[in-house]
Amino acid sequence: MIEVKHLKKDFSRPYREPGFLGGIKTLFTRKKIVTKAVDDISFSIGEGEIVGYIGANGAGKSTTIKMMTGILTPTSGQVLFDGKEPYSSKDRKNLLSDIGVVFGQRTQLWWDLPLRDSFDLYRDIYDIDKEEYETRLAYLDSVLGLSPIMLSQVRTLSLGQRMRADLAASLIHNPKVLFLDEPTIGLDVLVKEKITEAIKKINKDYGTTIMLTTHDMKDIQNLAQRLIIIDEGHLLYDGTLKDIKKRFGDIRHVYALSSDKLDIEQSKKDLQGKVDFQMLDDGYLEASYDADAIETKIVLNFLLAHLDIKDLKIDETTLSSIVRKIYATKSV
Amino acid sequence: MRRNPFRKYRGFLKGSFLNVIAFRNEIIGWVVQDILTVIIMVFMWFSIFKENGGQTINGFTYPQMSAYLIIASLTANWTVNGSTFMDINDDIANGTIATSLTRPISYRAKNFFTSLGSNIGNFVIFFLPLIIIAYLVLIFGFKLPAPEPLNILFYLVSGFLAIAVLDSFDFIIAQLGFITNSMFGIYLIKGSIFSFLAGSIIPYAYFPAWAQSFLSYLPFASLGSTPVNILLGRLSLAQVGISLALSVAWAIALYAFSLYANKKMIRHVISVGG
Repeated sequence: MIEVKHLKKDFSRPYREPGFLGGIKTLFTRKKIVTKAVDDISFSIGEGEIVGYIGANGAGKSTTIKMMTGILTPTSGQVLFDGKEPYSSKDRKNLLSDIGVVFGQRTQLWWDLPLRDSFDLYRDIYDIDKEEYETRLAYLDSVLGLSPIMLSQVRTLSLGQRMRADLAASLIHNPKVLFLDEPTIGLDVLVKEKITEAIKKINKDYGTTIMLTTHDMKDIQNLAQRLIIIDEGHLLYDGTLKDIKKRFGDIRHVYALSSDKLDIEQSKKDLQGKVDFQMLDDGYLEASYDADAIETKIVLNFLLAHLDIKDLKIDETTLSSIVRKIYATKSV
Repeated sequence: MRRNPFRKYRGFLKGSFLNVIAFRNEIIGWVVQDILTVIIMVFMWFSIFKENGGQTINGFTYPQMSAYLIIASLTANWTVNGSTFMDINDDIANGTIATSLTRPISYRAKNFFTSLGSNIGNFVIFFLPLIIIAYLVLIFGFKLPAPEPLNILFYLVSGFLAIAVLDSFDFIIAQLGFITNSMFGIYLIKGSIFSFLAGSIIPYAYFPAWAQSFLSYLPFASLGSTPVNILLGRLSLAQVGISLALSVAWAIALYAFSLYANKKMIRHVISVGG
């Protein structure tokens, strides 16, 4: 349904030297700095999919979303929505009613008026029938719990309430595709849960295709079956959540605090090199191993036999740790 | 069946109208400031006329001059208070322009109707009661005639044309927001230059002859001089026709140019990255 083909976006801005003189110089030079925000990205998204689109800050996520929603025009490459380009002025008009967008840090509600007025405004913009509008609103109310805040001024809403309202405002016209740019930013755990539940339900009930960017891996784990990771404008990974976990292995980390010193080289040999040891700054010894290759029992017994252990912690690989690793090494 | 294209924008009109009503207590400070300025001007001209021996100056008697200043100020109160300039500034500064662009509406038209809503709000809440008070003062205090019904009608038409002309001006100038952050300063400067060129501070009759004919063909005349002179009955029917035709022409031309600027602007949004 959505196809992104060799998408590229360069931003050029005038080269500016620091300081006052530098500022003046800028007026007379034509030097430009070109940043490649998105560099040759291709993927496609099927109907009804929930895709997590992640990347470090400045990786090019928002730029991609802006091209997919038709705000930006790509430098080269293509975005196709059922064969139409969202940024071309011809296709735009028809396409925009199939798209819903939430930019988590910006509201699209009428700040000084009761919430209900904003919804009515969008009803007019999308030319929705009265009956259809009321059913839609009732549905969104049941999913997002809007009725207690319907008559409150938007400015008086808490961030969590406002986010729910913003989500509803982007869904009022029943779009085929919903873009969520950091929808849970700054929200508490409970509200986050509510919002992810609502998104799930909407996806299930209406088959809405959802593309979601976030820095919260819990969101991704709760929502997405598929993950696209980009970094510095390049595509790093496109696949299922399961696959990426498999690829990185079921890595466990055991942290042991002890006053004894372990002969790391010798220990590695003893465990046939299946365990990596590392002394951490906080005094803990970290032993990392693939749980499929060596049993936890063996590692623990080994540690207990060699060290006088005061404290012990065990972590499994989480999506966050995988993603952290990918961001740091810039490879999958 | 083609649906009514205006329907999309009705909400913006209504929303900003309600906004003015919600914020009437905040706006009243500005209105009081305008009233005080007019009172000071009227007193200032009183001493000028007295110095001059109480005769007419450039075709204005003292009561006529006072009427001109009062009507000019009240006209500005509902025609000049559009929100387009500051709305675009906010859109650029907060990045909300991105969400505006994902809706199936014209950004230019959205701004126009939002602004029109606040103009109408100002008209209903402040202008109507104030103009009634002003005319009571002018008729009973300054012994001036009441306005002709036909002139009132032409005045309203002219006022709405002023809104259309100014809105396009504001839209075009607001594009500067992409290169500078000192938009509030530009807003204030724009306000004083425009009200001077529109003849809202002193009538065109006080300008040198070459400037008078020159200015009357520029769009600024539509913003002040034309509506005020119409209401005061200072123009013949033929002159009213010509002035209104000029206003319509400028309104259309500037709207077309602002659409072009909008296209350019959206391309600029692209290069700053939203």
